[in-house]
Amino acid sequence: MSECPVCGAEITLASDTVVGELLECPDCGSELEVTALEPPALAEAPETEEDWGE
Amino acid sequence: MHIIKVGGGSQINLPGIVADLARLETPYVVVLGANALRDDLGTRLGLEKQELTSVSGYNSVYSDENAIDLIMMAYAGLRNRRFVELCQRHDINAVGLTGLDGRLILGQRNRGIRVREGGKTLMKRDFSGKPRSVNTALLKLLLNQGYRPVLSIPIIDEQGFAINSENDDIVNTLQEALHAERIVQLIEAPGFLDNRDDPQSVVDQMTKSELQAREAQVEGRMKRKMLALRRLFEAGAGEVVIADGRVEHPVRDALAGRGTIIR
Repeated sequence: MSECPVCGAEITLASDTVVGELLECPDCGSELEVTALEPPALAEAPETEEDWGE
Repeated sequence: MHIIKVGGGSQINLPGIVADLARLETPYVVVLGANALRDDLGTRLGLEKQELTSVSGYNSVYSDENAIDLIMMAYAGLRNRRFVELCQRHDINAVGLTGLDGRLILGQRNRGIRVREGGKTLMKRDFSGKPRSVNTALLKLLLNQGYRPVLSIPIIDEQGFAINSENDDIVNTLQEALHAERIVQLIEAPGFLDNRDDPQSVVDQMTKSELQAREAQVEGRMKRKMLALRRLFEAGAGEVVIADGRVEHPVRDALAGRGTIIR
């Protein structure tokens, strides 16, 4: 069990969740990133640039 | 003051470039590419280049720690050291540097990229970023003493990590800091080609205002190059020459106007 950092809703992570996975808060719809598994932790997913280049 | 960007293709005539530089009186900074050498060395070491495709379809090189090691070997190591050696053999007092040295080129790490993997959407992060500023005092210190800086990636991020970056972006950041009168880009083509399959179709002259229209005409990596050129003029460039790095006298010919001159 983890908590949405935006709205505080409780979120249960699936057993096959991996670090770096992006999911949506079922309550507020924020895009969240799984930053740790033990214990589970979520952070708001950052805005990203599409093109890294090299 | 000139900025000389040397492409990293395998056919670039490095001895010819250095022989020309030895006769150049104007001070300059060299930015060295080494992509062919990096790929070749990577194959020999069993370190293949990894590419990622973002959820919206852009391809990017994934720069993990192994990739940065390889950049240090190929760009900062072999290519830079051999180029400096060539310079010294021609009595050019070159100083080889990466963006790490003296925090010469400070960049901002890319924040991440969204990819699809195994049915999941993941945030991937790596050691790559965009240059933001240059240690101008260090470069001027060297230039004013008659040294010729030869620059290679990696650059340095805000936390002191070595990161990969595009040489086109590095040249732009250098231009903002140094205000070079002329930027020479030596590539494996006779200049900007109107038709990329026809080496005879070199565009001799282009105005900076044409760049945006040209950008819409081209595809893939060339599109990124055209965008970089446009930004170079936004950074205050007066003249950019795109010229053949494979000929006997790449720099001499470029400065004589052979290739594509953009003003």
